[in-house]
Amino acid sequence: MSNEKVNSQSSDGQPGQGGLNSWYQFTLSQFLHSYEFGITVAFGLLFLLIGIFAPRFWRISNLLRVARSFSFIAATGVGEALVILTGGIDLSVGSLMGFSGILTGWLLHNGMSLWLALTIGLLSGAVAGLLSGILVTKANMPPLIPTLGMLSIAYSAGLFITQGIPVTSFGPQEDLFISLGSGFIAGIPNPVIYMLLMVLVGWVFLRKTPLGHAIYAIGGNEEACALTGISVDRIKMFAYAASGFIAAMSGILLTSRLSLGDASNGRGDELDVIAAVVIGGVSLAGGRGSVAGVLVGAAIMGVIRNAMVLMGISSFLQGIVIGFIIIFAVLLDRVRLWLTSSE
Amino acid sequence: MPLPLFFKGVALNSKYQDSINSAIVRMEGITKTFGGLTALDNVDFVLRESEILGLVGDNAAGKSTLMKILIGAYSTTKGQIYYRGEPVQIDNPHDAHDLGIEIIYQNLALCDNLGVAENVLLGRWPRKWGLFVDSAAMKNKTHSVLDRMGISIQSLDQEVATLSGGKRQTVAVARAISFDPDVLIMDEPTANLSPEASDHVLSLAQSLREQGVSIIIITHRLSEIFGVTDRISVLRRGKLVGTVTTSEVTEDDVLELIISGKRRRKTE
Repeated sequence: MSNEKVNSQSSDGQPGQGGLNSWYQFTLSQFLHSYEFGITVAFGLLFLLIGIFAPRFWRISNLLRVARSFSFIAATGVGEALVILTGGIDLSVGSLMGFSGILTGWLLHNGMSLWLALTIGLLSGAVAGLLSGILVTKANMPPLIPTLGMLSIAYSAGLFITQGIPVTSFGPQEDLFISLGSGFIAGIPNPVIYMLLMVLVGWVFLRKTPLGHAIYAIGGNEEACALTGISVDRIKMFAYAASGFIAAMSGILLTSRLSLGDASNGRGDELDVIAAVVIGGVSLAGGRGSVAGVLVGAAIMGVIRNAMVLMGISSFLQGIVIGFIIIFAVLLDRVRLWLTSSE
Repeated sequence: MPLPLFFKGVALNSKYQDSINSAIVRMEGITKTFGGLTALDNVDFVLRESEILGLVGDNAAGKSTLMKILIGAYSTTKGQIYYRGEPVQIDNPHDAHDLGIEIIYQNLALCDNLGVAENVLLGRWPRKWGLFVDSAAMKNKTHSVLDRMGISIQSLDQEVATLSGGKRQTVAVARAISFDPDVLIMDEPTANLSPEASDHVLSLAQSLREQGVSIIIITHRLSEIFGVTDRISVLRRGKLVGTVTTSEVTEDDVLELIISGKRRRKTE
């Protein structure tokens, strides 16, 4: 029989003589050809260029301010990435950020204990996400529809709770609540630490756990997953619930950071979140990308916005620039996929 | 219970009795209707221990329907399946899997975005500390499956999308083999493959037969399976019109069965 022995790996699964080098070469080659590597290099160049034209950009205080400004987008992008990796999309994250923040703030304002209010706020996001997931999987709705509906519901629910009046006082534990989003640990703003934690947890979850692998697998071939016994519906529901939960967490921190519970918090942010995910290399078709890329995607948007301010460029142009970057990023991804399939 | 005939007009003979005695799978009187359409009409089908059986027929002959019944994707309208001589109920693919019956679909059902090892053990990734995927164990297990097949792939991390058609087929076979099946159904395994890759896949089937796996190859390509099959069963318009021993017939004989449902020489 024909035998395709072309490598040097031994039968025990460990690289054999010479195999270690080839294994590392292969992994390194994979990384160098990856979208994440390309976008990280692009970000590095952007970082250097902006600093040359606007030296104030490199100041630590400015960099921390920029990091804090995109931290909520990047962290929420981790949850959005889970959904997009399964081949879906969640348009409700921005409104859920606003709603969960309002709900938590309103409960605190009415005297509820901090931990209970936080728990209810977080659960509200998870339940809203789960509902979207159930409609996508069990009612076979295109993801756009239930999440668009949830966007509207969450926004209106936030307005209804407060009757349109923003929450500005947070009860007896106000100081503790506000310190969650406004505080620092070792000089680093809490939201930045939160963002880094979310990216780390998201990376470990997606790369190292069976559930994370299943999310990639579903994005790659949902039918194959179902045939091999993977609970596709449950995993998709989990992804939407996790996205809602993370959006709620970001929304609560944003409310804390701004000391303001308002329905407009996070409104429209779903577009920035999706943009960060796409620029970061997560394929809208599902199955490809990483949360490290989402961090870089959010950072690119944050840095460009800051640079335009520092260089005195009209803020009205920001949307145009970000728009072109999104289109360019997707175009780049298409070219990369085309090259891969050509090989 | 009266024993069935493979096709009308052929008396029960000793070869048929041998078939039943050595059968790992026996499907008796299988009928399947979809509304008013009869897809399978009283089909009797036998797969022996450690043989490669070619299942051939024109389009809409009922090949895929018969195999979907065997793997539990379809229920029967009438008929009984026996596995190792015992009557069994196969209501879904899990039941077939539990019995040791696996199928490799024509579209291979691979996740192109995942690596080789992840595809081979799709959904059954070994765990470390209960929470994490044990990559080393996953690769070890994949290696042992590939070793059993006499195959090695450059890197088990390599994305399946970047593999050739033959190697993709190899990954699909490896996944089926990882379940340690007794019966393996290969649906058009050489479709869209180059002649070299087809040879490779068919030699893989022979190797598995030597290891005791009973294999059914569904195909349109008669010339390819003549070199590897022990017997060939022919379906025509939902009826099994003959089962022949490959070494005793020519391609023209089988072609005649496929076209007219009759054959000059006697079938089993």
